[in-house]
Amino acid sequence: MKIGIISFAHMHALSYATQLTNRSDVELAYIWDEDETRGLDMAKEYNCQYLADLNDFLATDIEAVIICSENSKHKSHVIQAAKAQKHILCEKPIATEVEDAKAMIQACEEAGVILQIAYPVRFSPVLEKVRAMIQQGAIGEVLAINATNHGLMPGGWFVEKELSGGGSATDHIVHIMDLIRWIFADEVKNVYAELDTRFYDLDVEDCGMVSLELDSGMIVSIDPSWSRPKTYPTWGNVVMHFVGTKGNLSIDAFKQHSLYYNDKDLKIEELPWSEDMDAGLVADFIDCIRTNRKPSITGTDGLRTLEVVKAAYQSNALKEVVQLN
Amino acid sequence: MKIALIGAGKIGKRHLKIWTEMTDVEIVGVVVRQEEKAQKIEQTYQVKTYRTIAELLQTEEIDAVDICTPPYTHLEIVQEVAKAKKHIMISKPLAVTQKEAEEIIQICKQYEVQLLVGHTLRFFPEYENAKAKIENEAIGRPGVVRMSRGVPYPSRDHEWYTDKRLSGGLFVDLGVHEFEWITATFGQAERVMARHIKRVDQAKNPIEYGLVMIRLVDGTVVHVELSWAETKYRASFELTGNKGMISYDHDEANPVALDLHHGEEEVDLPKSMLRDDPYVRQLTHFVDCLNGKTSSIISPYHAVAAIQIAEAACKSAEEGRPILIQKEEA
Repeated sequence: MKIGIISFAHMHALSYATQLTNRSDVELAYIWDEDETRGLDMAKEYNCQYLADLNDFLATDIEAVIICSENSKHKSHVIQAAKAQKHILCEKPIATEVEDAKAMIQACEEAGVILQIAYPVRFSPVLEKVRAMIQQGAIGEVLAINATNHGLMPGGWFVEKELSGGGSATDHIVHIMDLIRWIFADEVKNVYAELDTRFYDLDVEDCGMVSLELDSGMIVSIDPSWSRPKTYPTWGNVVMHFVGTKGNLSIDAFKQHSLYYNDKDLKIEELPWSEDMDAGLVADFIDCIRTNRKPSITGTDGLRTLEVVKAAYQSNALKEVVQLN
Repeated sequence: MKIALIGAGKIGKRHLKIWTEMTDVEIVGVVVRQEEKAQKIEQTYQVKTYRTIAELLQTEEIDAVDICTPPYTHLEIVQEVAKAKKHIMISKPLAVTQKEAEEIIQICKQYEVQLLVGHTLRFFPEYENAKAKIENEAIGRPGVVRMSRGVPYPSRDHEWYTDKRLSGGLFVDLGVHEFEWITATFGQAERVMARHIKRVDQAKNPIEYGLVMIRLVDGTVVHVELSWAETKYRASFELTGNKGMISYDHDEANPVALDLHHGEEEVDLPKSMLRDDPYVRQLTHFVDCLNGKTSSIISPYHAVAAIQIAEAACKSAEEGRPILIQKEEA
């Protein structure tokens, strides 16, 4: 099976490309990138062909594409790929506007192609085990979650609103939100958020706090801040504390690491040794195509999480609780 | 220094033990309402006890009174003690409501007695140190402040503890620790949004849990997790700013780990690995304040502000909306 990658704007493309080239059953055949220099470099790196014209790229015999363009460009790339009958793995967030996401889902349905959203944390063995434990009732009924998805400020197009759609809230709410929906099959009832730019001189928010109530009555806090200092030993974290009627459960998804005190560069670094989540995500996507099954992470999953992000922005602007339907 | 104590519950006994060990302090009397309990206290601590505050105040020469009773009793007791012109040390929370807390301050002003509020968290070295660092701009401009505090559900023999009208409930009783520290360290709150859960666990024991978001006047975003749904003590903070971060987790800060092969064996592992635990440090500071050596590091106005945040959190959780904090006139 031949697969292509649309854009290396998002750095996750590097990992997906590596996963594809690690496999013997698929071939990373073509790369299209708006940035020709980057596209050519990547084609050389991954030993495949760069095509400068997206139409030419989509006219090739690739069966599927992985889209890692800037958030606001997901819409047009997904719709064009769908029209060309390519199955799609799209980097999160699905889009920057709810209406865009809906149009993308519709285009893929009409074309009969798979649209999977890249929420790789679902493929973390830690999360797989925790989900099974919680679903088996290990801590009883879950009443509350206190979660963080912190990061370093990524810079680049991530802080250009036109391309990213927003800052840390856009970047980080969706991961936790997707995990909660995946574990509990519960939806968000209402959202309150305080967002701000307090760490850097940016046009987008770099920190904040989101407070949710779910349909089940569960209460949730999500901290999506780019609050990691420059000396932080890794890129960030995914931490969740679950409070249940039988007990509590805490997870630190990236705790599987050793510490490296690096005198050469005068810094402390985490050396992760956890299993690669992206391998699971890419394997699942390929399996979806092979067996022609419904994607495990659908466009609707992408849409629901985006709706929460949008509600957070609205709440922050109004300083009011925003109800979701 | 002649000190009298009112109340001999958990905190009262803890204070009493410290008072009796202090060389420059004389405990002249302890007010214990129940006769039976009073006898026990007399025997254990070798102190005189009184059934009523009036009796104590009439009989003994006293410099200051240490009030260790449940918060719903504070206002009435302060009235009686302040009128007698005795300085006051009082356990947190200062009162169950902001209104009562403000009245307490007014009364102490009127009778010109000191009001020393026992926000013991301020004497935990990790919190004291972090506050000093922040004042030295160690983290630059504050961005996001995260704090957590959790304990098992307060036991049934202290029923007032979990009765919201008597203790203020989770947000007041547990929350004021963090709320006071936040106010003293970062300044006034502007807006509060809170969510709250109260349920019974599978063994039919109650559990209570709250998530509080506070926007401070200076823009700092604060999150406080408060839990009466734990099996053991839990406390942590993470203070971030544009120049750095200070983080602390009680679970990762214990210098001694003890594991015994035979669980039955009794080994007395000290609760605190400090020579002077935070309670000793607090009461020593209060004595210094009473002696005029220094003034209290705890402003009664911060104690009020903490209750104000807690009340706003209760209201927010009940009404499902953010609550604006009325500006203090100081």
